[in-house]
Parts: sequence; structure tokens; C-alpha cells
Amino acid sequence: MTARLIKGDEVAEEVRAEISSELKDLYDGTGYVAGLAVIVVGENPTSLAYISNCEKQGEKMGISIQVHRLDQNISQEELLEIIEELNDDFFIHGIMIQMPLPEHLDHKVIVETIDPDKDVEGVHPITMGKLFSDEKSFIPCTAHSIMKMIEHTRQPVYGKSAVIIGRSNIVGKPLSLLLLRRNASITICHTGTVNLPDICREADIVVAAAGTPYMVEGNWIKQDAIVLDVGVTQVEDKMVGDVNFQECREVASWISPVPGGVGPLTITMLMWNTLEAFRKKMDRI
Amino acid sequence: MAYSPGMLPLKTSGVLKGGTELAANIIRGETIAQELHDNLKHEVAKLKEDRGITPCMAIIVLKSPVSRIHVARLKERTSQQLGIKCQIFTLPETTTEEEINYLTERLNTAKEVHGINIHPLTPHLNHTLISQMVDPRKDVEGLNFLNMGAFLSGDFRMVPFVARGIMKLIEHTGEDLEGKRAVVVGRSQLVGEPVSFLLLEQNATVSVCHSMTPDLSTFTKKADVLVVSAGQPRIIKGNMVKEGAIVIDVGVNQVGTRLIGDVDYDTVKDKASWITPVPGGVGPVTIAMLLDNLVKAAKYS
Repeated sequence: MTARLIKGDEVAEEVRAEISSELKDLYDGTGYVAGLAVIVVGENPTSLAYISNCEKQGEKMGISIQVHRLDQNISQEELLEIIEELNDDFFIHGIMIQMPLPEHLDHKVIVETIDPDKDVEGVHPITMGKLFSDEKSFIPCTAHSIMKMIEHTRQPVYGKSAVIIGRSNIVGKPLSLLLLRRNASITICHTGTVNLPDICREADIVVAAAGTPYMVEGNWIKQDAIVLDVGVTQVEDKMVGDVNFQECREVASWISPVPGGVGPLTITMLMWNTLEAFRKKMDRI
Repeated sequence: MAYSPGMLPLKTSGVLKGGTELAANIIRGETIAQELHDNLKHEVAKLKEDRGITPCMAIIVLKSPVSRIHVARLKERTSQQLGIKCQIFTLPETTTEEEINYLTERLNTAKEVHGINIHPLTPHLNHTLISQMVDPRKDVEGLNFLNMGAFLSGDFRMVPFVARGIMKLIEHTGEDLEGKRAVVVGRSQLVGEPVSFLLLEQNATVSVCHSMTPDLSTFTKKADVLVVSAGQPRIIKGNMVKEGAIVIDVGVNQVGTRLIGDVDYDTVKDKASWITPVPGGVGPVTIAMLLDNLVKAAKYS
């Protein structure tokens, strides 16, 4: 039997509907609209495309998006000043900074300047610390998207064994914590892992976030496992994932395609976090 | 002479089994702690000499059995031996969150205090929230959100000391963890989760299991390094352990008058290459690592 597809768009559609309706209720109750500030430095075409996608999606859901397109040569001080203004801006509830930043800017200092209450990407250490301590916080968008996709399959996570390939700070590590909280046993693999195929074959859930095209082969997958592909690598003019889709779909019960899998969902989860930030603010007034 | 990896084991059990096979080497927490203390003593003396700083720890305990005041006394004694100041604040069992927060704030502003250690609290108090009141620079437990988050992003400002102690014990076996499989049983925020990220940092492939894992042994049998912090007496038996594994037992369970670990020592010692005893394994090293965190905090003060 061929695996069923976990389509990012379908999952996103459900979440978007929820966001829109909540925003409408909040608007009816308070008269305010959620605001997200998006900062992009330089002219990286991929970044600009992503930003314009954010704008479109956000506005469709009823979030006001304020884009700050900044010059490639902006100084650290100028950028920090802009962030601080946004921190104080009553109408802005979330701040997102598009990565990568030019090399002359100190990524760490910049991220730590964001008000943790507006850190909708979940990148500030305080936000991550809350995630670590199992306190309510903003969940990094990619890890959150993967959890949503797993939920979408309606398959139990409790007691299952999940293998995560990739140990990045924004995907692998937070995802491992989220899966543990749902009572899965987890294994984190990486470039230093010996016998990766064998370890994958033990898993009920495989999440590939390694950035190596077509790495996960069909014979790495246990019968009826759930396979999630987070990899996006440009090969010639195509976007390809970390999973050999054709092979794996013959073995898995559910699989996410690339493109059309995790990608479309990440912006939606960013908007979800913006809604959460907005709601928290509205609860306080 | 300081022990270094690659030298002969600190102490082997020396028991010949079946004529040829040696039982596991014992990782003696006390011996390793002693070396850590020697190093700390030097660092403390140097801090005094160079900068006129005497590291000072404040410990907050409740008059309740859960707060383990005897451990606070032990920390005090160890501190004194190393030239570290230690102040114990003993509060009544009925102390409120506000009262602890008030004390914490005073300690935050007290210049002579470099680290604040809050002992386990009674259930009516929320330890996680109280830890947030501690100045991140004095957070020697590594429980402040800022420090935990930095840790998660690979910036090791202040790492929970039990997890650091476990890594010290593993380091003393002299084994390289690169490409090895490490299995952590237990997912607490103080031990299981942080130690799994530290193992990952050493390029081990890391699994985390817990009470909801259907069959623990499928994981534990594959472990080259097994860290057990489940709080269940002797749940890990010899037949659940891979031949030659390094086994670290973090459990301390009081059964009658005895303290026993999460590992069934008698059956596991014949399979493991290295094993920690309980007591005398992880315990002594954790205090040393707490004081190490304190000295680090004093250095950056």
C-alpha cells in the first residue's frame, strides 16, 4: 500500500481557519488587530519571496504585517534601535527577523534584544528556556509545524519511537523536547551517527532534517512508519527533500512531500504565534 | 598526581570472575570529586589573590525533609574546605512564594553573594517560577529561562550541575563518545534532558526513554553509554545492558535505611565495562560541579 500524503497546505488550511476566526472574535471584543513586524536586511531574493508570502498570508488571516526592508549596510546600533522601537510599539505584537543577516551584524545580540513577549519565532533564549522548562511559550515554527503534521495523521505518538535526523537548535533539539512531552521515546541522530539506516529502521516516526538530498532510502523505513521530510535543498532548478520520496512512500503509512510538506506550514505557525502574542496582550488590557 | 583519561583505571574491582573475566571498573565519585576539589581550591585561591574575590554561595532551604538540609550542610562543609563562603538560609516549612522571592531579591543585590542555590521545595511552591527570580548571573543551578535557553542553543553559560557531573564521570573512563550510542532513561529538566544535549555535544547518538517507553530494554541493550535517572530502584538489570557499556546510575532511592540506585548493581557490574556505585558515584561529583558553577559565576561577576 502506498503511504498517504501529509500535505502542508491542507494542514495549514485548518490552522489558518482557526486563526482567522479567533482574530475576528478578538477584534469584535476589543477593536484591535494583531500586528506582526517583519525585518529583512539586504536583497536576498529567497528572503524577499518569503517575506512577500508572509505578507499575503498574514493579511488574508487579518493580521497587519509591517515590513521593514533595511539596507544591507545598516549598522548594528541602527538595527537594535529599530527593534527597540518595535518592542515598545503598542500595535506590534510579534517581531520576526529574516535570517540570514549580513556578517557584520551580531546575530546573538540582535535576537536577545527582541522582547520575549513578542518573540514569535521562538528564537530568544528566554523563549527557548521556557520550552525547555515546559512552560507555555512560543514554539519555533518549523518544530511546531512538524508536530501539527503528526497530529494531522491522528496516529498515536504516546509510547512510539521517534528518530530525528539533525540536531539543530531550531528544529532537531526543540522537536525532540516536544515529542518527549507527548510521551514518545526519541533518538537524535546527526552527521556523527554510525549505522543511521539501522537506527531509522527502529522508528515509528522518522523526521529528516539533515539538509542532505535524498538521504533517507526506502529500506531505512520500518513498515507503516510516519515519515516527515524537513529538508529543502535546491538541486538544479528543483527543491528536493532529505527523503527519497518514491522509495519511502511504498513502505510508510504517512509521508510528507517536498515541496508541499512542511514549507507551507511554517508561515502559518508564525501567524499562530502572532495570534498567541496578541491574545496575551489583549488579556492584559 | 591528577588522573587523566588513558591512564590505568582509577580503581578496578580486581575480582576475577570465572578465572579470566574482570568485572566492571568502578567509577569512584569520591576520587573524582577530590580532584575537582583540588582544582577548585587553586582557582579560589587565585581569585582571592588576583581580584580579592571570595566566592560565596547562598543556599535557601526549608525546614522540611524534602528540602534535604543535610545536603546543604555537606555543601557548606565542602565549601569551607575549598575557601568558599557558604550561607545557609533556613526558612520555615510554611514560607510563601513572596517570602522566598523577597529573600532572593536581597541576595540578587548582595554584592558578596555570587550564586544562589534553592533546595527542593515543598509542593505548594513552584520551583520553576521561583528560579526565574534569581539573577541569571547568580543562577548556579542553570534553571533560569535565559540560561536554559542559551544552553539549548549551544551557549553553555550555566549548565545544570547534575548533568555536568555525569559528563565528568563519563570523561574519566577515557572513552571517546564520537559515534557511540548513548541512552538516557529519564527525561527530567534537571538531569535527563540536559545530559542528553551534553552527550549530543560529544557527538554521541542520543536516545531518551522514560516511564512511557513500552520496552526499555530495546533501547538500553543498544547503549554504549547508559545514563539512568528514573527514580525507580533497580529497574535496570544485567540482561538489559550491552556487554562493555558504561553505566551511570543517577538514582538515589531510600529503601529502609539503605540508599540504592536505579541500576541493579550486582547483575550489571558483570556486563558493564564501567559502572558508578550508589552511594559514592554521581552524588559527590554533583556538589563539586555546583561549586564549579559558583566559581565560574564569581569569575564573571
